[in-house]
Amino acid sequence: MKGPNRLIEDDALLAKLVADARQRGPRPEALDELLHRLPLPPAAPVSTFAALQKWIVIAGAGCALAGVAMLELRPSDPPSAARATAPSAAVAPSVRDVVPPSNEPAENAVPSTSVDDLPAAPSRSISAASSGAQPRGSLRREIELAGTARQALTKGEADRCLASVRAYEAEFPNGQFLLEAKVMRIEATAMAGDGPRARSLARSFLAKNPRSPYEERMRSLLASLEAQ
Amino acid sequence: MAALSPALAEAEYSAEEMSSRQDQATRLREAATAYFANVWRFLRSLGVPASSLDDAAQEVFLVAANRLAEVRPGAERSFLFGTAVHVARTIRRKHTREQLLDDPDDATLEPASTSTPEESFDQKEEHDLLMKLLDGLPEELRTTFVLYEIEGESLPSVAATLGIPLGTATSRLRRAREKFAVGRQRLHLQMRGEK
Repeated sequence: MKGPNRLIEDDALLAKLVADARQRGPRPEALDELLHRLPLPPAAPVSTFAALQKWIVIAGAGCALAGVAMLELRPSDPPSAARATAPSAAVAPSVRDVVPPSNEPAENAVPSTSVDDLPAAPSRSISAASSGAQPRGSLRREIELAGTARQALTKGEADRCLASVRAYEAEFPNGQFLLEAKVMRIEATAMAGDGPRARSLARSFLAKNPRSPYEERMRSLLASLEAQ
Repeated sequence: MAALSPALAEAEYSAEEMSSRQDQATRLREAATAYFANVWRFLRSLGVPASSLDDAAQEVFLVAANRLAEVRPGAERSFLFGTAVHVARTIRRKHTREQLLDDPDDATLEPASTSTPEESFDQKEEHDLLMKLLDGLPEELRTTFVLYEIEGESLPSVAATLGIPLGTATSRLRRAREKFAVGRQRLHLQMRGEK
């Protein structure tokens, strides 16, 4: 079942919000703390059978190594003799083959593990996604500018409102609150006393956005401006 | 073939058990490395307070440490998210209780609509718009919405994670979308200075 289309595909604001949220993440140390608290893989078992098997392997390997050492310490022996007795020495490198590989994984890890055999530590990418830093998203800036404009308009500061609207439109020509910005520009222009320009802007707005949520509000403003 | 002696049988069992425990521990650490940030963000979307996020995310994995053997390989993410839903619910309720106990007159408990848009806009949480919109959804709807719309889960996967029938998941998503749309509309009303 595919399900309905995701809102994120149709709703630019939600898409921005989600993208912004994905930029945030836990502190890198938080994962380290968790890994520290999680149980570690258990140590190798020390069962009777396993211990016996280990000692057999070690003893066998030891004997083989001793045999090789003795042969190599006899300089008078011809090389062919060394080769002739060598098969017993070949046991030494095959210690791993003697140890059951599947059901006792830790058994061969203890005596014969080199640094290269150790598993790599979990890689820690300190990317923006997992970083604790919280970058200022453009959405936040967009909201700040639109909010500043709205605040200024409410306080009767027309010039400050217009400045914020200009900044908003310059930075976000396709912003989420573009319609709101246009409305605020018209209202601030009227508030600043520039009736003719406010009327012109209001008419233009209504022509371009005939069914916007601001239609009634613009018509009312236009009516009051024309009555002056 | 002669049967294994009890000692040898026990040793064989221990080795198998040890191998299994090693596998589980390794699997858990791999899951933690792969999904910790996802779980953290998911908990955040579910409304866990910022001060509790690290602890909550750790709690999810500590629960998983005890139950991972029951989880089918490949289903770790779904299990972790399902656990996160329970952890988030517990923390949110505890947080709400503590707020009520701390200060019954705390202004932050008052509905956001009592403040003017300009006042509320200045508040810190206002900047976290997604959380504010999600806060408008009841818990059950919010969880479904986040899983489907933000985490990109399929509806059957949402239903499985939450342990609910598919029809219920579908219904919750529909209602969540309706409520989310109302919140979104309210945001635009605030921007244009209306309530």
